[in-house]
Amino acid sequence: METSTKSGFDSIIKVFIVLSTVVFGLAIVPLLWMVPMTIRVFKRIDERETFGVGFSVCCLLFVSVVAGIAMFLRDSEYGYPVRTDKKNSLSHQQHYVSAKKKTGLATKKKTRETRKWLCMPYGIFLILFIILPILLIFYYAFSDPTTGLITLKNFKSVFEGDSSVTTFKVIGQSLGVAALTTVICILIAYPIAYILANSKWNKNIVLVYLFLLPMWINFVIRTIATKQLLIFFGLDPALHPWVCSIIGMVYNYLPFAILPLYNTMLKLDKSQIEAAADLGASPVQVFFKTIVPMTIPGIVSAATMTFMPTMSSYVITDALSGRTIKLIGGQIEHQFLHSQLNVGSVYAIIMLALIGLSVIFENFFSEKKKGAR
Amino acid sequence: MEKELVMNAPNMEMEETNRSLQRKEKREKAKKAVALTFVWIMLLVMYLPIMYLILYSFTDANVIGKWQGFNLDCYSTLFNPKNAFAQQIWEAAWNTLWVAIVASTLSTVLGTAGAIGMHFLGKKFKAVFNFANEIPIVNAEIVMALSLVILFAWLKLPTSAFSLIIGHMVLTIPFVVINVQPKLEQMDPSLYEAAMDLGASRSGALFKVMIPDLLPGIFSGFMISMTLSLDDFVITEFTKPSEGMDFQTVSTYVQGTLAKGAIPIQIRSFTTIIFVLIVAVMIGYTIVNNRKAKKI
Repeated sequence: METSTKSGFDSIIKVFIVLSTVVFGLAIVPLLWMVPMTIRVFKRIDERETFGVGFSVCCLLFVSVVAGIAMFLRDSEYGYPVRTDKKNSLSHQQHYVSAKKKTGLATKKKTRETRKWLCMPYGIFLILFIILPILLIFYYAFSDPTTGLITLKNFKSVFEGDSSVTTFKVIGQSLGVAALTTVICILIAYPIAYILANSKWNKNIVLVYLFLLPMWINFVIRTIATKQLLIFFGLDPALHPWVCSIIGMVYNYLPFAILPLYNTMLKLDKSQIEAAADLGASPVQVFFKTIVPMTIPGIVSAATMTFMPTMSSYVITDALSGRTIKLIGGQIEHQFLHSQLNVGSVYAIIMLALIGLSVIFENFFSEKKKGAR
Repeated sequence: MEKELVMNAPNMEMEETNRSLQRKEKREKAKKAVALTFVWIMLLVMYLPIMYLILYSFTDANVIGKWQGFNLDCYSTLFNPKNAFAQQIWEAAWNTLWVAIVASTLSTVLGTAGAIGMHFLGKKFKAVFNFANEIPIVNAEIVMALSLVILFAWLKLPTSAFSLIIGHMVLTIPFVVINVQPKLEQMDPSLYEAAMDLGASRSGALFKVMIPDLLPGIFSGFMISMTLSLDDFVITEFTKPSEGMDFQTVSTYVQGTLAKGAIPIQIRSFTTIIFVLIVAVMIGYTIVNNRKAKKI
């Protein structure tokens, strides 16, 4: 095996694969598989390895026809056995290893390396559809819709004069609704989770499922049903916007609060609670001194699970407050419906700032907990 | 506190301990009853809106509180292919379903591959990936939705089925990754290497050794993806196809009809059928699970 010699096809493959990646890459999506494949091709060439039939076919079909054919030719030139017969795969494997003159350790390291590349498509997806769009929000917020030049116009239209009053009102209402919903959700979910997780009282997991089941019914339909039911009970959303909105929010987000609390309660250290009781602590002391501190991680994640999505659940407040309570999410939708993406971006940045603050808040609490340990 | 403890050393007579034990038992029973009553009352409250929908699916009254006699109008019109509302509802249902299936399947494949790759990355890159993966979970759905709309506007592309699928993938992929990751941590790394040493090809080792180990995580990731995708409103509203035919999923359809006025009565029978299906699946799942548990 003359593995050390260079093949004439190497440069042909490299040129064509880069060319087609660049050309088709303009359509953005093909980058998802083209970039990882190109990198792999380059690595294989540099390491003087064969490509294998499957990989060559994929290149031929999805990246570049010329490069794919050249890859086949290069493989046959190298004279490696093309693995088609499964029965002989063992001998081929040995053949490979001896041909490469690599130790077992090196092979192991290499398999680790190749498995790494599995995350490439996801990495590109993250960059294209999650990170790039968020950067674009910042660009749009600071640029003029028609000329594309950098300007503070959009911020001015949100924070100047009369509009600033409505903006701060919207932010205040969003935070108010979110905070109230979170507190009420945790107050209701905490005892439920405690009872469900306590094996003395409940041994049946079905009861837990029952609390989660309404999540599978479309939430818009559930919200409308809630609205009609509230009217039936004499609570008109137009007259009691706050009460109705909070009921709707709590109803929708309660399962999200129960689940993390239930999971932490399952792991509660029973002996610690019993020890506290045996050592003479009153039930109230037991609750506040042992149970609550042990469940702080659950409380924090339940709070984040309810607080953050609440601010954007404008569908619920729209339906249950007669459109008197406006959330930041609703403002973003309003701008979107009027094709004002630049002003919408400003609201999105406000939202991002609020989310950033609550993440810092959450981290602060979980860090504190870790420090206490 | 500690001094008290020493003083409190048990020094009681047998009879008294017996009586106190009985009392304790009684108190425990009362506690249990109170606790379970509370849970059941909460459940009842949570199911009230759904029960209202089910009850009123057997009458054609338009407003709640006005029972207009038992009839099956909601059902007969829902299954009448000539009824305009029924057509719209079934079309929306079909759209919701195919979008959820396509997006969840793609998310599961991409997310599983991503999670496996991330597992073998160096510490720094792994941290970067984990951070990026957290963004859509922490971020508000509406910000993600707007950012995708802006991306497509920036590329001068109209929103289409493609942007809708991408939107749902952004929503669901992180959950696939965080469901697969713990299974990867639990996995025995020597198994994969043993398979390789015994002559399995890379893909063989991946599909025959690693994937079966990860299957529970992959499955729960897929199920969560389906749940999120089926129930989604915000991302769908923003990224749904803007050109050509009026594209609606169940969420956007119901919201749209609500904005116009009352929602069609067929929604009630439709929801009832969905609810019955979900309950049936749940019961089946629990029975199968119990049987499995008994076998083991």
